[in-house]
Amino acid sequence: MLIPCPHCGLRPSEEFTPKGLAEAPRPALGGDDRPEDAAWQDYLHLRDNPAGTVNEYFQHTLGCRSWLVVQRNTLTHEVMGATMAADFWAKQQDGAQA
Amino acid sequence: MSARFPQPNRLAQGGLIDRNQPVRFSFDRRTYEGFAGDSLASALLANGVKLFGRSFKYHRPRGILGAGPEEPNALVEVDSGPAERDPNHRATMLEIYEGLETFSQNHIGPLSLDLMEVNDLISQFLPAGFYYKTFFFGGLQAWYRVYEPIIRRAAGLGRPPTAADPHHYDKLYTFADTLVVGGGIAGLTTALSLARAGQSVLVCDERDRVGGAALWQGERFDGQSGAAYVDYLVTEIEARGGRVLPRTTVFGVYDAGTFGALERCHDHLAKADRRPHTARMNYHRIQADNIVYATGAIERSVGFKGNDRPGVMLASAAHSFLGKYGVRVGQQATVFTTHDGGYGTAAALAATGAEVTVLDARAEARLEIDGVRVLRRVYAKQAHGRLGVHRLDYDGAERGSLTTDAVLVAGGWNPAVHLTSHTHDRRQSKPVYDPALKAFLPPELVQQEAAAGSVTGALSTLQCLQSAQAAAEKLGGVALDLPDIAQALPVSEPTELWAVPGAGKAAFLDMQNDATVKDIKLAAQEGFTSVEHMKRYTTLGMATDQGKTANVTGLALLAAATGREIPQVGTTTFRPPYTPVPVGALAGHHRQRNFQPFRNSPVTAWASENGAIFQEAGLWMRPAWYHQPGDKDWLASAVRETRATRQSLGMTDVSTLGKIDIQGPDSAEFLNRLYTNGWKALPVGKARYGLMLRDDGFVFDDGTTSRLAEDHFYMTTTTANAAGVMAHMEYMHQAVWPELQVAFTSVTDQWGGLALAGPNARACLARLFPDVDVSNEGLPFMGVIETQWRGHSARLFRISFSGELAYEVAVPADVFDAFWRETFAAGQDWQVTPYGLEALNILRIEKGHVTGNELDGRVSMDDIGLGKMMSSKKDFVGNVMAQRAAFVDPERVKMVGLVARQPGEQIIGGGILFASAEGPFDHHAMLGYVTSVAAYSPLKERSIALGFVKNPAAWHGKTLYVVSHVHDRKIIEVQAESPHFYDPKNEKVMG
Repeated sequence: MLIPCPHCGLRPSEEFTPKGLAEAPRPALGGDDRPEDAAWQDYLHLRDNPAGTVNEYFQHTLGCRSWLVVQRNTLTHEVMGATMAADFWAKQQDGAQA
Repeated sequence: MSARFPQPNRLAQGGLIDRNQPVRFSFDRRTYEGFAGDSLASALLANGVKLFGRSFKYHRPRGILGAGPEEPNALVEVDSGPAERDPNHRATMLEIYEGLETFSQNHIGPLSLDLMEVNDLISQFLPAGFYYKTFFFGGLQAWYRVYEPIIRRAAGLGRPPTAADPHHYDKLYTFADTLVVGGGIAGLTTALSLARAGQSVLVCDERDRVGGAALWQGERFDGQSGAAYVDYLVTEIEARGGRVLPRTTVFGVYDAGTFGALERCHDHLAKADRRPHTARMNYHRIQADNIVYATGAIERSVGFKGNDRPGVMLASAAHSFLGKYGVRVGQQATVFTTHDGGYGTAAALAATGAEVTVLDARAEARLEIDGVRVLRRVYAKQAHGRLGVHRLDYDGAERGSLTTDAVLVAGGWNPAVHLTSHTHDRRQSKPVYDPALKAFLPPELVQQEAAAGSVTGALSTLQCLQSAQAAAEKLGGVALDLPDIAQALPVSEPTELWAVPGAGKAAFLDMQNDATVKDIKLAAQEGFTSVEHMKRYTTLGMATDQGKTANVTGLALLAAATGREIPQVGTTTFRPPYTPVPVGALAGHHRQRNFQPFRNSPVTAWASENGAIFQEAGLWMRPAWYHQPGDKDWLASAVRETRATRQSLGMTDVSTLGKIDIQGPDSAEFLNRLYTNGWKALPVGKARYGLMLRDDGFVFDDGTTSRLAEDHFYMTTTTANAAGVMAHMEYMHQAVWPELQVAFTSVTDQWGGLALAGPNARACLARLFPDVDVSNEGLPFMGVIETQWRGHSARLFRISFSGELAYEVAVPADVFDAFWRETFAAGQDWQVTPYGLEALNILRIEKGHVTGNELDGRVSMDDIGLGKMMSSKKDFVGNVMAQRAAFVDPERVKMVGLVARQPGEQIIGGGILFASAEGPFDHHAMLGYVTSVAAYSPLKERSIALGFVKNPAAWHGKTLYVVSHVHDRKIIEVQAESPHFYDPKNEKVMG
């Protein structure tokens, strides 16, 4: 599996460390969430395990150390693309507003 | 051919061997001669050897079945040294070289008189499932003590080497636009077309020489021999930048254009010709956009009694021994065929003057060959000859018996669909059964894949070349003119014949695992009707050859036995590797000392000179203790170091702690969000102990972080979690809070650190830094000073892990050795004692400080008595989840100190805490567990420990029992106490 790091180019997956799906927005700090509230519980424990295309966090640990969001097919391991994690969420917000 | 070494079965001409280059080698300590270009199989056959080994289960004498990677029988050991001995080489794939030593396998006593052959005589009592059924008797103990040792003695293929592998193995990344697997005429033609279109092509072929069947079939291409035409193709492919790798097996197809291949670089060379320090094998990780499967087809046998006798082989194998090596496997050969292909072999042998008979199983066969007797509608009934076939009974339209020294079976072709199927289970696409060819063809291929040659079911060379044209066209190749093929071999679809009528017990399918036609029927009878169940019950296809010659026949017989069609039965799953891959090749250089990187602290040199015994801590090598003359054992050293530190002065290396330099206007805000306690009010020149939680509220890591300037912090982490904390911070900053203006980098390797601890620590520090005010006022507890040591940056921290008055001093790593030596010299007035991890552990357990043993991912801050460090004025990572009901449950286990009642007794780490010594010692009665143990505490004059127990305050002063289930339930009586054994009021630290 090769991952196109925006900084380093196409690199083998062994250089990267996965973290999990980037699908669920992380609850913000400073909110008035209490443990009874569902946001953190859902974020931590209720994740999907989709068969198909997903957005996943990967860190280019043995390269530039960037955190990326990699689009990958979990059935075939085909990698469709990768963006910087910060840019990914900025785009998601733009999309939501538009 | 020298007179001393006649090669009775070698023809005077023909083949691709070099008769001017004799090569001497040995088999079972007897010397033979072959020629350069021979395989071990061809050279031994040339010498008249028929017997190559013994079968796995029945120890039946076995010869050669195939001529390539599919060979199930002729497995040999190469070399005899304890490290060099290498079992399970296929004689058909092993190239001979001067001085090659080989040995047959799997027998006790001489090969021709194996004592274990008794298994064959009693084979009626050893059907499939025999072991499963029989060895339940007597229970598990009987299995371990009686049955297993006997079976292990009898079983096994070859003997493993007993010493470490002396060879080098390399790993390579290899790239190509298109990978072509198989360098037969179809693969090369496809490769040439793609190369002409400008693609970079890589052709891998598992044999010593590319060309496949074109090298031995005798067909002519545009008037040239097959070998000459292959040379022409290879020359042009290489001229266009393509690469052709012989001796390279593509063993696996992985996701997204990744392929595994093994290139054998050394095994064919005489030892003197192997360049030292070069790799025996190269493990190629190939990345290619497209793949062409030109993997060929493997011929199959037919089930009849004695079809495993030495001298019974596949017709194509006999043909290739003749065409490639000039070896005639028999002078009275019998070809048993189910299709026209067998006639090509018969004609080739007859042309050498051999007496050839064809048994054609078909009713409507029509081919005739001059000088060859053909019996139609006849099948082989039984082959006779324990150590070499000499007679064959046949039945059918005629019944009779004929004298023969070679029975050549042409049972039809199985396309080598293995690689085409490696990733197809995920795509829900399996090999497809073709009822005309009576064989499985590759599954539906995706856009980046194509198949060429006989793997597509093509029978004739012309069909193979046409399929290559189609494959090339699919992948963007240029159109090619195909050569004229002369002297084309006859081909036809086979008639359906998997086993002859009446075949049973001694009709073998899987020759390596001795699975017979009868075993398949038995499996069906006993209800193992799924192909996967049948496989496991009979072990068909589970040996090192993975049933390359056996599987399709086995499942066809299963279909017949269960009244189903073959497609309904289906194939078992094809998985990598295609052929065995040595683990050494996968490991490459990542073994022993190079298995993982190791890290030395800048004090390693000094520590080695001064008696340090090192211990691995993650990747770090850290001094565990410093052995001094008079120290009885490691504990004596550690206790001496502990006492010296408490009484006067100790020094230890803390360079391995993770260190992160944090800068930027939002640094304090960043730390506020990461740590549970507040950082904005921390003054410049002060340090603070901090704890981080994970998202789920459990403790992640702890350490001391100092404020060097308003916008500049210096964080330390535990040694073990340094990389994890760094990645966590990078994640939070890049993915969650990109708006924070903060930058940070790991400086673990840039700074060396030493801790000075003990009542005389201040005096020693003052001597090292005479210009700095290190008094209690100038450098109070948790104070930080940035200064210089001999012109280099130095940072002084008043922090203590040992519980003593203590300082940590950081200087750049490149001057740390000098600084350490100067500190050691300066401390001599106070008998400074360097201490290692063991003393460090005793010191911190006496003080009740936690490490990774306690912070094991299951503890909350409250559990370790630090609940008050959670700020309620701000939010931080893990805050919300740490408020969950279970985290504040009063029944949670919390940290406790434990002291052994008996002075000589040692508390056991990982032991479980109970209230009673009487039991029961189960999880209902369990109160807690032990996490860290000091074998001896000078303070308490006995063993002490830290652990976790429910409601610890209620147990203080009372007795608990540590039970270790892994030490025969040893019970140790302990007294519970506060974990802060030493100086609970912090007077020493603050003084």
